[in-house]
Formats: sequence, structure tokens, C-alpha cells
Amino acid sequence: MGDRESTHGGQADPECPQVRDVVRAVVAQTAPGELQYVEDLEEFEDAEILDELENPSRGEPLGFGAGDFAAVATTVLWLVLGKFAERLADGGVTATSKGLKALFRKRRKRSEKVTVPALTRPQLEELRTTLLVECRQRGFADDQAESLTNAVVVRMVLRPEAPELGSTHREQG
Amino acid sequence: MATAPGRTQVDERVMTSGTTVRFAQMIVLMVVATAGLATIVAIPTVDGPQAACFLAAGLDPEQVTFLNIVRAFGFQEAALASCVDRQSAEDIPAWLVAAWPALMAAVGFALFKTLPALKIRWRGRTRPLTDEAALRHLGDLAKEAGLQTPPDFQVHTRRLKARAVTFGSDRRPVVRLNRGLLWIRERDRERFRVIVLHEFAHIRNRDITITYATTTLWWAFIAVVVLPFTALELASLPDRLQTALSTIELISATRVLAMALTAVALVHFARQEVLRSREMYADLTAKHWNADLREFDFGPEAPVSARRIGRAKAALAELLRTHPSLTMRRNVLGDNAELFTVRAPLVILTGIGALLIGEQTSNALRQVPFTAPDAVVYATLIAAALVTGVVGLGIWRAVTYAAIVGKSPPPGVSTGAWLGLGLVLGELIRGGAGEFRWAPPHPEMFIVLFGVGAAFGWWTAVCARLWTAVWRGRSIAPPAALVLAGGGVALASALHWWEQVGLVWANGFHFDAASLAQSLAGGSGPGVIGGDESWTAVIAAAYHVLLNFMLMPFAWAAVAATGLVPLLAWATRPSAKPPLWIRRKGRAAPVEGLPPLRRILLAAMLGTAASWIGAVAGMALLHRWRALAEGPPTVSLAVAVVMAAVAMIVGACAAAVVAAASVDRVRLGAALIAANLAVAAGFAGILALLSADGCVPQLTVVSGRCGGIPVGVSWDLLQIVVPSVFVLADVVAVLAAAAAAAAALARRRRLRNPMRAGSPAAIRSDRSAVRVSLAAVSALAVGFALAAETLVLQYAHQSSAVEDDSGWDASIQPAAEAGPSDYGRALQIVSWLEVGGEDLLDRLAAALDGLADIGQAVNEPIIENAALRQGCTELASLVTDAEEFFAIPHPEAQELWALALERIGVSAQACVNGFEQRNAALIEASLEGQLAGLAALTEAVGVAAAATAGTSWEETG
Repeated sequence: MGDRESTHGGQADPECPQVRDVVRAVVAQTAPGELQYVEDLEEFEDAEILDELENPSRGEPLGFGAGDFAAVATTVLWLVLGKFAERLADGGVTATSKGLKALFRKRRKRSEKVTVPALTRPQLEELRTTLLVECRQRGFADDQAESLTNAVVVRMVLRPEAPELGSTHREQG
Repeated sequence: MATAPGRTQVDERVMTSGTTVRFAQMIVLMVVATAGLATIVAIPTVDGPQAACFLAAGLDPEQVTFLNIVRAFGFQEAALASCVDRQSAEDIPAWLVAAWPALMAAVGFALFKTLPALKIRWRGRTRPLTDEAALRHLGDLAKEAGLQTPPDFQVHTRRLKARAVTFGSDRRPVVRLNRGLLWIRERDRERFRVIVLHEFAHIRNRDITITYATTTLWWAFIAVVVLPFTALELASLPDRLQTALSTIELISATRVLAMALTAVALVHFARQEVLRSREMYADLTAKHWNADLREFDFGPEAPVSARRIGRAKAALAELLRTHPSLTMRRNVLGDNAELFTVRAPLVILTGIGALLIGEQTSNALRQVPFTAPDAVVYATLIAAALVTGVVGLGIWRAVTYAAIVGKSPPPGVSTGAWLGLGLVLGELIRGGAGEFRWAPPHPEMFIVLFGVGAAFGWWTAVCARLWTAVWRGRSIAPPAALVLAGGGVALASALHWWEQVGLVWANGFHFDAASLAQSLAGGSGPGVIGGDESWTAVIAAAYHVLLNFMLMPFAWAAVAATGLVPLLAWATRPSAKPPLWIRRKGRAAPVEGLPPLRRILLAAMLGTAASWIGAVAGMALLHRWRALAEGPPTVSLAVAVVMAAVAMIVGACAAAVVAAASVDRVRLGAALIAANLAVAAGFAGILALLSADGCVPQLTVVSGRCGGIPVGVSWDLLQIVVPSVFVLADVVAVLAAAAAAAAALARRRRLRNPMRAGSPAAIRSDRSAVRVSLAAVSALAVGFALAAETLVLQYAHQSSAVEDDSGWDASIQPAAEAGPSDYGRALQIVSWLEVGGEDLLDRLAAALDGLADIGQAVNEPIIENAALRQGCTELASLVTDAEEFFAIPHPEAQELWALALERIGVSAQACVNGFEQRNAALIEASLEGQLAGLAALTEAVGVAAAATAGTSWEETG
């Protein structure tokens, strides 16, 4: 994994597509029924969504108290892409810095838009595997997992067009 | 997740969950803690100044024994009362004590009322559910759950977790679904159903109001009571620690903060129990609707750490969390034993709470005219009711569960021991024994308190076991109510005894020979018997133990309950049919029968015979003494009564040992029944024996002729000690049963050892239960004998002081114990000065100086000097004030002080008389006398000041 300038994603880089745009494009392509969900998430900040997806929440009195986030294409995509982008932005993650990071995790900058930088081949491969594993863990059918993953990989490879595509889909939605 | 083999599901509705009792416990605790803390907040330094009064009165801060207290305060009660009044000048406004809990309740209620609206409006993230399809789906589920009208549905737009929450109130429930839950509605309908039905189960079980009332009251308690109070207490502490009484202040502040902390922990646990059990019951209710959460993966749980610290952290986290863990919820759905166990922390805290509640409630009730005389009785009843509702009911549920699934029932002793531990900790925290010390002078008395808790747990479990074995009715509630009511009364009685007598013993009374001797000489005892001091001391000790149980209220009810409740189990009609309450609610298990009553009755008969033989022997002994004694017949009668009591207790002991050893289970029940029956039958025989006094020459104690003592008189005499005898018989029965159970346990262990099985030792060990019980009882007897011997020895040392013939006073006056240390003495004098002594000295000196000035500056005839006359009158009243004030807690200084006051008083009075009689010579002479008084006063002050050795009230100031 190269420690190149461009992998310091996470910042709002006009060159790089935002996570939400990638999610919107992929959902539009593979699970158009969920476009309303992406629409619902428009009012969230990126950080807010990742926090909600990542952190276990405590049991409220008379709440159900257990259960993870709703495992739909939108949320799984968002979680995997968001975490991947953040990891690239942080550079190599060591054990100690992981512990430290955990302390500061709640301090994600709220207004920051998470972007996905240009990926090297190994990075693409890693993203693909992660996404596949996550989809299967969340009970997705194999073909659905495949089509989601492929759509993401294609989107990342055709990177320069990504923002345009994103805006196209936004107009559609 | 499939149910693991061997796991059992018992219908959780077989018995009340006790949530309401816990909620009630929480409310009572909060109100009591609030009132108690408000009292302390109202006067942040209540302990310091009051302690100063006690010290000024001459209490030795390093030896706070009962006798010391009597010595110090006996003569100056009025001075002490007015000092305490003065020091508490900022008297607690009664409205504040009442208003603080009211304020807390008001804040809690306001929060409860506004919380639903807050939850909906908070940052605009909740919106009404408008999706028609979802509403239809939810409506169908509501019908399935049997809800008459579907609740109000809201959506949390920012939450993606597939969850929901219920709030509002039982009358107007609101279910808020997360946006994430709605997303999975179509995709994963079954999961959606499980989650929604869990929420509907809360509505069906009417959990909402109790849960949110619990939560909002908790917030109010923390905000309105705990935080302000702790802040005030801590803020006042630095100043208080700078006085000479810093140690006492530190002890009192620590106790007060520990009380606050305990109150917080107790309220937290009561709330946690309410919340957790409501969750698990909702899961179970949903499961009855075929919505079993175990069929779904709800994500991973935090792994259990293998490291000890990690495990401890996890245990602590489990202790603190108000929502049950998913693992526990799954377990409960599989084997709901968890719902039927009593948790040790809750039991300990309930024990602590019982004593704190007792203390605070009786303080509060003393302010109310109607309840004031019996404040302690009401307080102990409330405390006992809460303990019974939490611990007793918990034990019942555990035994019921075991009876249904056919497991061996919990013995209840360990739960009882936790309760006993809690009671002891509660006593240490509130400091009822040894107000000015960390621990009382005789902490060994705490064994009794511990035993009360352990016996309560054991007795409840044994009775529950007996009744679950025989009960054939539709519901197990009636026998449970009977046992809990009986246990509650007995516990209240025991706690009351502890308040009135046990604490006094823990403070040292009856442990020192002087106080024993004093009570003998003071007329409450039988007096010196036949010139034999040793026997006198022993009998006096027995007399006192016996008399001390008379103070117990509802002693008869308690005694009847402990014996009759288990005995009645044998009275139910035996039937081979399985119990209806089990058949109806869950799967039937083979029910164990009861041990044969015959054996218990036989043991009781043996015990009765033993008590009769003992009584006859005692009468014969008395008859011999009577020849030696010269005392009045009443003394012999009193001694006869003591002997009769001892005989009955010996009989009870024999009956209990035999009964406990001859049954293989419910030993405590058997021992109690046998002991009580033996006492009852023994009592009848002894009544006859005493009434027949004079008929058999060798046994004659009082009467000169046969029938000299009518039955009515014998009854009147014996009934004084009979409640005590029954109580002591219960104590003996508990000890005998414990010994028998321990022996049986040891034997079972040995038999389980394959090397020893079938060995002669194992075969012989059948009788070991009897042997161990006898050994234990003998050890006890030896212990009593040694204690009596010690008392006799001490008594011999003290007797010269006692026989001074003046009784009470004679035993108080001599300084039998070493006086206070120099430091203690200094503290006393400093306190004396602080609470008014210094002020008196100043005023006296100023008045005398003033009179001297007036006397010298006189130009007109002295007889016309109105200022002088006025001064003399004032001086006379000042002397009266000083005489009503505490004596200086220093013998030499006090002698001078008393002399000075006398001189000044006499001369001031002479001066006043001189004016009245227009006798100028008398007035002039009186002024001389005043000067002499001033000299004595100065000398007294000098002596006292020297004794303070540089100690001052403001230690750093």
C-alpha cells in the first residue's frame, strides 16, 4: 500500500468521489428500490452515519436493546466504503494507534465529507474482499453480494467519471 | 438457537415477580434518604456541637460505654438537653424535612410528564409514522398481541439500528421505531415482528409507567438530593475538621457520606431490578406469541475476558447496566432460572437499607404526635416488610422454581447470610452502636445481628420447601403469603429487639460487671440470694437476658409464627395427586414428601420430660438454699421463675437436637416445632409444679402449705418470662439444626468419597449428626458457663461497691474505670468552654468586676445605689445559670468552681437581702464575699486551663 499523497483521502477533494455519491450510484444500479433510503440519509453528515453504523448503542429502558443496524445495501456499502476511506486517510494503522484512535473516534469532524481516493490495484482487491465478506456476514444472497461488489469496483476503476455519474443519479433520484 | 438439553423453562407467572415490591422499596428508600439527608443539610454541623455537649457533660470520648454515658449524663440531663437545644438553635424546620421529598417527587413527576413530549420533539428527529403499509402491518401485530387500541407510532429519523423503544405511559403508550427498523420491515418480516412484539409485550405487561416513573425519580433523586447534599456536606467538612473534635466530625461525616452512597447504590439496584426484569418478562411474553428472539442473530456480544481484571470489570459492568445482556436474555428464554434467583448484591444492600430505613423512619415518625410513642415499632415493621418483600419473596421464588423442575431447593442460609452481612454493614454505617467511634465497644454482638439475617433466610427457605411439598391448591400464593407474613413479623420483632436491647449490649452494657451489679442492687433484679454472690450473679445475668426479650413487641406473634407456620404444613391433607399450581403453570415434577411428624413429636416429648426433670431439680436446689436464705419469699419466687425458664430452655434444647438429628431434611422446621412444643408442654408442667408448691416438702420453695400459690399467681409469674423462653428456644433450635445440618453435610462428603464408602466409619456415621449436635450444644453450654464465671469473678471485685446499699447511685458514683486520658480530659474541658462555659466565665467575671467598680465609686449611701442592687440581682441569677450548667469535667477544677459559685451565690443573695432589709453592713460584707468568690473562680479557671494543655477548640485557628 503506497503512502501517496492521493491516499490521504477523507478531505473534500474535488478530484475524488464522495462516499455518498458512490453509494448512491451503486444503489441506483443494483438496488434501485433502496434509493429512497439514500434520499433519507441526505440530511445526515457523513460522520454521523458512520458513527451510527459503527458504534454499538446502549439499551434504552423498554427498548429492544439488541440488534445491529438495518443490513440493507445502502448501509453495508456506506459502512465498508466509509471505513475503507478513513483507513486510507489515516495511513497504516498500527495496534497502538488503533487503541488511541478508538479514544478519538467520537471526534469525527461532523461537517467533513468523506471521499474515496484513487485506489491501487491491491487496494481495490482488498476493498472487494472486505465488501464481499461484509455482505455475506450480513446475510446477503451470493449473487446480490457479487453484483454490489462488482458495481463498486467498476465505479472505483472509472473514477474520473464518478462525480459526474453521482450528480446524474442525484438528478434522477 | 435451540434450547440446550437439560435446560428448563418454568412459567414465569407461577409467582409474582416482585417488581412492585422493589419499586416500593425504591420509593421508600428515596423518600427516607431524602428526608434523612434533608435533616442533615438543614444543619450541616449537627454532630459537632452536639458532640461538644456530650463531651462538656463529661463523656469520655475514648471510652464511650453505656455506663460511662449514664455516669456522665445521669446527673445533668437538664443541662445536656438545654445544651443540645442551644447547639441546634437552627432547629430543622419540619417543613424542610417534608418539603424536600415533596420537591423530589414534584421534579420526578414533572420529568415523567414532560419526557414523552421531550423524546418526540428533541431536535426534531422524531416524526409520526405515516407509511400506510407499515401502519397496517403494525396494526395487525397489535391485534396479535391483544392490544385493544394500537399505540401511537413515531419514527426516529436518525437511527439506523433495527430497534424500537416504548415510552409515554401505560394509558398513552408511544412506540418509536428507528428508521433502520422500518427499512428491514419488508426484507426481514420475522425479525421485525420479534422486535415489535417485544415492545408490545411491554405495553401488555403495563411496564411503561413503572419504568419511566422509576427512571425519572432516579434522575430527580440524583439532581435534587444526592448532588446538592454531597456538595454541602463536603463543603462544610474542612471547617469542621479544624475543631478539637475533628475525629468525631470525620467519623460522622464518613458515616453520613456512606449513608448517601448506600442510598444511591440501593436506589440504583432497586431501579435496575425493575428495569431488567421488565425486559426479560417482555421477551417471555413475546415468546408466548411465538416471537422468540433466540431465532435471530442480533450481532455479537462483548467476549468474556479470561483475565481476572477483565472478568471483574465485566462483572461490575453487568452489575451497573440497567438493560440485561443479550446472553442473559437468551438464557432466560431457555432456562429461566435466572428469573428465580436472588442476587447477593441486592440482598446485602437490602440488609443495609433495612437498618438505615429503620433509623430514618423512626426519626421521622418521632416528629408526628400520633406515631411518636411507637416510632421504633412502626419503623422496624416497615423495614421488615421491605426485607421480606425483597429477600423473602426472592427465596420463595427460588424454592418454587426448584420444586417445579425437581431440583434440590436452595437452603436459603447463604442468602440469609448475605442479609445478615448487610444488616451488620448497615449498623456500622449508621453508627447506632458507638456514636463517636468507628465500631462499637462490643462488636461481637454483631454475630447476633448476622444470625438474625441468616436464620431469616434459612427459615423462609425451609418453610417454602415444606409448603411447596404439600400444597395442592391452584396457586402457591396463599402459603407464600402465610410464610412471608410470619417471617416478616418475626424479623420485625428481632430488629426491634436489636434496636432496644442488642445495641445497648453492643455498647457494653451487661458486659461489664459494674452495670450488672448495679442492676441487681437497683431493685430490678432478685437481689442477693442467700448471701451467695456467685449464684446471684449468674441468676441475675439469666434474669436480665430473660427480661430483655419482654421488650419485644409482637413477641408472641413472632414465636407462634416460627413454630406454627412449619407445623401447619403437616396439617394439610396429604394427596398423591400432583399439585394443581404446578400442573397448571408448568411441567409437573415428582414432589418430595414431608419427614414423618411422629419423630418430631417424639423429640418434643423427650424435651418436655427434660424440662420437667430440670424444673424438679431446680426446685429441690432452691429448697436447700431457702434454708440458708433469709430474704423475703418474693426473692425465692423470682429465682424459681428463672430456674423454671432455664429448665424449659434445656428441654427445648434437647427436643431440638433430637428432632434435627432424626429427620433428613427441613431440619430447622423440625427443630423449631419440637423446641416450641417442648416449651409449651414444659410450661404446662411447670405451672402445675409451681402451683403445687408446698405439697411435696422436699420441693417447697415459698409456700408453707399445699396450694399456697394459686394457679393464677403462678401463671402471672411465669408469663413474664415465657415469651423470652420461646424466643431463646427458637435460638437454641436454630443452633441445633445448624449443627445437625453441618454434621449431615460432613457425613455426605465422607460417603461421597469412594475410598471411604462402605467403611465402618461411614456406617457408624449415621449417629454422627446426634453426636455433633450434642458436642455443639455442650460447647455452647461451656461457653455460657465460662461467661458466667467471668461475670462472677468481676462481680466479686465489684461487690463492695454495690453493697453500699444506696443502689443505683452507689454503683455510678465511684470511678470504677480509669478516667479519661489527658487528651480526652482536654477535649472535655475545651468542649465545656465552647458550649457555654467560657461565656459563663466571662459574664461572671464582668459582673463581679462591675460590682467592684460600682462599690468603689460609691458617693451616695450604699443603700440608695440602684445600680449596685441591680448588679447583685443579676449576679444571683447568673450564679443560678452557672449551677444549672454542666459541671466542669475535671474533678479538681469542679471542686473549686462549685466552691466559687457557692460563695458568689451566697454573697449575691446576701447583697440582695441587704437591699431588701436596708442593711448596709450586710451589703458591704457581701461584696467582700464576692471578691473571695472571684478568687476561687480564677483558681478554678487556672486549673482547668492547665488541663487543656494547649488544646483549643479551633485546632488550627
